[in-house]
Amino acid sequence: VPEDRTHRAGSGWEGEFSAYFEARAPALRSTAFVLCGDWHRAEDILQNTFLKLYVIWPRLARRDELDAFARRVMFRLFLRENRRLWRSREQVSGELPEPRGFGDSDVAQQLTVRAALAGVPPKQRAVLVLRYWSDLSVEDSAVALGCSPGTVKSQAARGLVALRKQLGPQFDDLFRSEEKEHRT
Amino acid sequence: MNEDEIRSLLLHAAPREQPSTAADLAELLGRGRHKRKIRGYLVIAGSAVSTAAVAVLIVALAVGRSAGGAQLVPADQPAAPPMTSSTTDVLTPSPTTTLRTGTTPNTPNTPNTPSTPMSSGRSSSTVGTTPTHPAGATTTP
Repeated sequence: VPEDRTHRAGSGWEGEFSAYFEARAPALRSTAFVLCGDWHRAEDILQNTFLKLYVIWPRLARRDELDAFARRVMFRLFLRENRRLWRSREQVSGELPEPRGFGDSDVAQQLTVRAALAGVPPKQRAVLVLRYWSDLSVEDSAVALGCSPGTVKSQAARGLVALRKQLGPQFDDLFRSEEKEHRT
Repeated sequence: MNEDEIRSLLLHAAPREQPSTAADLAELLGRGRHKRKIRGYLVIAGSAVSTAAVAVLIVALAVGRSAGGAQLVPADQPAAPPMTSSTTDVLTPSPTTTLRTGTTPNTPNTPNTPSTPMSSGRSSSTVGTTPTHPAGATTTP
């Protein structure tokens, strides 16, 4: 009888966890993809985030702040993974082939922006994603990253400079094309 | 570059389609259960190990305390023989006492035990001053 009770209780909170996973996983996966620019790494980060959530789920008291907590776990996992030694990460030894010209301008722009974002240092990228992708305030971004609001502001400014530098002359082209789209 | 421009720029980095999540949840639950199980074992093992360590520490302290009580004599000095009533009778006086009282034969008033003459004032006053022995015996100068 006690086993049955335990099983039922476990399935209860596991059911809650499954519902939360199905509801929030797509959004968090998209955020992880914008952070990493790679589906495999995004999937790893997402799985580790939900794994951490699963382990402490029965002890989570403030369920109304789950999203903020999950986001915090994910961003810290991302930053921790980037702090690891370069040896433990996959290194690309060969040179990548030159990208061919894309017929679809949207796809070309996507690849350009993703490549530029990948060139921004991880912490600045995390700040940019939190501030302008997840639409968080400076204070909420600071809580998510575990730093001060001043750090968020400075990292955001540096990140924007780095992003603009990475985009180079394509930066203006991107905005021109957007302006054309808005006019039409 | 204002905030709206940055937002529209980051929209270009958004994914168009996502992989399915159906298989991921089952895998995640399996990994999570395994991790929780390992964690439970570790908690129990850690608690048992810490309890055992505390018990060993207490036993070691108790043993050390009882062994330390017997070692009253320092290690670099020889241990004294046990003091019994038979050994106290056999003890001889110190050489200085012998020099002073060597010429003085024992009298019934002054026993031969080394402790008695030194401790009593009467025997110390008689030593070497008023011989009570027979004639012919030398006295101290």
